[in-house]
Amino acid sequence: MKFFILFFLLALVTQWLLPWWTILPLAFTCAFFFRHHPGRVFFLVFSAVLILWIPVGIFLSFRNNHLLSHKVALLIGLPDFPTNWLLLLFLAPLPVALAAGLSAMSGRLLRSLLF
Amino acid sequence: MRIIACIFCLVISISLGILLNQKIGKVPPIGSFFSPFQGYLQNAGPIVKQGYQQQVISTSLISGARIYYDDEGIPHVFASNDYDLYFSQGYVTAKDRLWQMDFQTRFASGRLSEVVGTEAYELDRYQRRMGMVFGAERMLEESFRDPLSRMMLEAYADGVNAYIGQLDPKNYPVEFKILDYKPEKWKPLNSALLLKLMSATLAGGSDELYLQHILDHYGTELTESLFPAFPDNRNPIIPSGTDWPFEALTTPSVPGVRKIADRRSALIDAPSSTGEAEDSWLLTSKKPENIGSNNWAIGGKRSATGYPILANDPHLKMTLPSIWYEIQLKGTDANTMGVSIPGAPGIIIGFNEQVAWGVTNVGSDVLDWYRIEFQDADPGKYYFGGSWRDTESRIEEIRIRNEGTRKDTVYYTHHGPVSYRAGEKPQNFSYTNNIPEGHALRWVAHLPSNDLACFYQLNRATGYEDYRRAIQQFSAPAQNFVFADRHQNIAITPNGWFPLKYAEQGKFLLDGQDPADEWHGRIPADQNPSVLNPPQQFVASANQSPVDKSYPYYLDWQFAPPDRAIRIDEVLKQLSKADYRDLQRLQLDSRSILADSLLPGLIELIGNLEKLTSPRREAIRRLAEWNHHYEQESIAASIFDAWYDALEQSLWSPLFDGHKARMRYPNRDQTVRLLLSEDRRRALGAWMDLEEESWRERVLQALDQSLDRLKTQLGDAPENWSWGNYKATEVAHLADMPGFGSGRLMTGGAPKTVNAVGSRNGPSWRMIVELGEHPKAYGILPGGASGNPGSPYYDNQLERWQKGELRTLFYPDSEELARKNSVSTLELIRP
Repeated sequence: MKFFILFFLLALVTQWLLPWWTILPLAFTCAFFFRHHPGRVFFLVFSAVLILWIPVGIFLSFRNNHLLSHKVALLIGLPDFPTNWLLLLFLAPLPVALAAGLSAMSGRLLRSLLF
Repeated sequence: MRIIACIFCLVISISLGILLNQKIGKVPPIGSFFSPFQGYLQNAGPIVKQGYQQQVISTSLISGARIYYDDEGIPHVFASNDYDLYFSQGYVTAKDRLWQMDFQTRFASGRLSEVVGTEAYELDRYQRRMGMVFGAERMLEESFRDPLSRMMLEAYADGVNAYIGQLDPKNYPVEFKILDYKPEKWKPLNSALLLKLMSATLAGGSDELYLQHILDHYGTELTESLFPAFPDNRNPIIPSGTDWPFEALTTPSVPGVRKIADRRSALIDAPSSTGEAEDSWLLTSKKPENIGSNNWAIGGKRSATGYPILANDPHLKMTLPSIWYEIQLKGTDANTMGVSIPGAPGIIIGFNEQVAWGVTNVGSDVLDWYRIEFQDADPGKYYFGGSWRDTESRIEEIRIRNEGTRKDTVYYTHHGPVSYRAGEKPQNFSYTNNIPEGHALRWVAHLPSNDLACFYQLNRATGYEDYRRAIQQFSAPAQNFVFADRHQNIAITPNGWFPLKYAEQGKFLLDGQDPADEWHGRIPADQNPSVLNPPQQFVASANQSPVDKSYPYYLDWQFAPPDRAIRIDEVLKQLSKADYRDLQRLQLDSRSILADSLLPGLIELIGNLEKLTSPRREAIRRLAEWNHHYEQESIAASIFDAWYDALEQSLWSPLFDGHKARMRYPNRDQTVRLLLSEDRRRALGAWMDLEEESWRERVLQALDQSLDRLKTQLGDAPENWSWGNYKATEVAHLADMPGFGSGRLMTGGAPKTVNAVGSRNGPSWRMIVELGEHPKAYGILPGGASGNPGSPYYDNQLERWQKGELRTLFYPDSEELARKNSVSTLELIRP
């Protein structure tokens, strides 16, 4: 749980201030310092990214009445229905969450190689 | 084992990271674009911004400015000097439209490849070879000689750059994120490029190559008969009988050996290939009748208020973001409002306390092609007036994303650039269809000009004299400037830099060796056709021929058909005690003059209806009952429109399609004449070996074709063939991004009617101004103020535009009033 909270808070700050991809080295580094099972590390980071991105996305999108999310959903070829923004907001973070999860796993595995 | 797993995860993760950070094909960089912290959601601003106040500090300001946004998102700028005024215009325009400004500038200057890669290369090359940047540079040079124009351009650029300077990447307009590039510093040249883009859109067409092919193939008699020397002149802009209050220059006479017949023989042997493949079977190019506009003004004797009322609706390609940007500019000597070009200072169509003005395009011939003889294929020298002259070469560097730079050399003669030398024209690139190889381009858009001075003065005009002075500064694209003031004047002037030509000069390809074929100077600006307060108490234009045959100068042999103009005159003549609603009704009028003049004769030509098959009879019955209005629900309008298209094709295709060189069809008045006159059919039938009876058969076959077309597109049931359905209007995104356009819009009107809403083009701004002690103005855009697809102001006017509604424009004369009615404010402060 500590790992999750630490990663989540650091990710929150760095995502506000730095480019999106800094979440990859961050996941790697955090995982390096904890002894969780690699599968668990992957799962925690994967869900942390989703829990970070999706609610923020939903908040921003609601504030905008989903005007832009709806259009962007159409832009990337999602079907035209009133709540397609929700589908977009759930789908879009998946590849990033996957990349971050794998990065964390490799950090965790590196640790077990070294120590 | 662990080491492999570790490396595997690391490699996948890093690869994914790299992959998600870049644009692949048309897919934006997924990581940054969908990150709620940096991506598109940062452009999804809150809907309600009531009371939002922003302050921006800039050291370039002289004393500062205040901008009040009203409830439609329209900025009202208050400044105490011109520099701050235009600085503010640049700033707020960039704030709403930065990507559009950037993209259109890139399009105009041939720099799209830098953003989208090699797919735009031919387009970029075309723009360079048409001399777009060359023209903009000449314009800028001339404008910079005028301290006022220079100040306008520089202040505007400073304002745009002040906005760009404080942008974080996460605040870049969303299209930058989608296309994955950055805004760059704004230069005064960009404003000039956008005015050149207007010239390219409105005065960049030519069909002399096609006519030359026709002349070469068919000879003089047919060419002169179907493409006569004078335009369809039923309803010129300057009413017939108006005096020309000047002593005309001697007009150049047609060079003796340059009669059309000789021109044929002279050029037919000429070595200049026109770049078409030998064995090709080519279709004609049809000139789209969509780019045009209406404007008119009625005098106080016809209005309810006792003051003039002015109306304008420019028809252009309708896009989102809107091609116009609405703004009020209040400075020390200006309180002007209307629409501007996003990227150029001043108001183009609008009004101030005392006057109102509007524009429609003048389709006169200001672009010609000159055959160039190079010395032994050496592009360094060309022959002119008995000696060899040097060309100048201009090396165009086209940067291509992910590829590097390609260099392209363009050779300039004193006529202009040789756009494509023999063998240089790209295959399958429709932009260059009408360009003859080995010819130099002479184009008014390449001349030095200071067009902004016109708008600077119009924006501050207090009456007729100011209007006359202002418009004489304007070069291109030539416009019919309609004018009204509160001192009871109404006027219209087809205006711009018109070359002084011999009759029909430039209808065919010209000879670049012969000084007699050159432009002979210009028609003096104060001798452009003009009329003030005509007895009919109205002035109007709809791109038709500006003058009748009494005007001493040659402008062109063809103009837009006068249908819209005839209808406008018909309605204006009836008006008395009119208010803006009467003029609004006219802007929305969908009566087809073509149907009025053609349909009864067509039905008569068909003769006995009883013998027809039942689908034909049913269609004719619908047409006979039709009121000739292109209303949204009308089925007859769809049938008539499809029938007319099929008729043109079936009448002219045998003559003009399928040759190895591309040709064109005759103008609409020729089609109508042929269909309505038996004598005419007999004369033409002789050329084409056709009997009278076979004309009738063709007309019926065309009807079948049109019904087939409607069935294929809209299904078998005629109930689905409504005009709105068939026309399928859509306001697409400027770069055609899916989801960012309007989707299907149901509207009445058609390109051939006053309410000229076509499938992609149409009234890009409707404006009506009632002059008086304080003017009352109305307007609507097919879009909105903002260029941000995430803003409610992106398309909030669209639905009202579609319904034909107008907004009352908020035009405060005091800052107090502007502040009281503002939704948000922006303060530009000097530190």
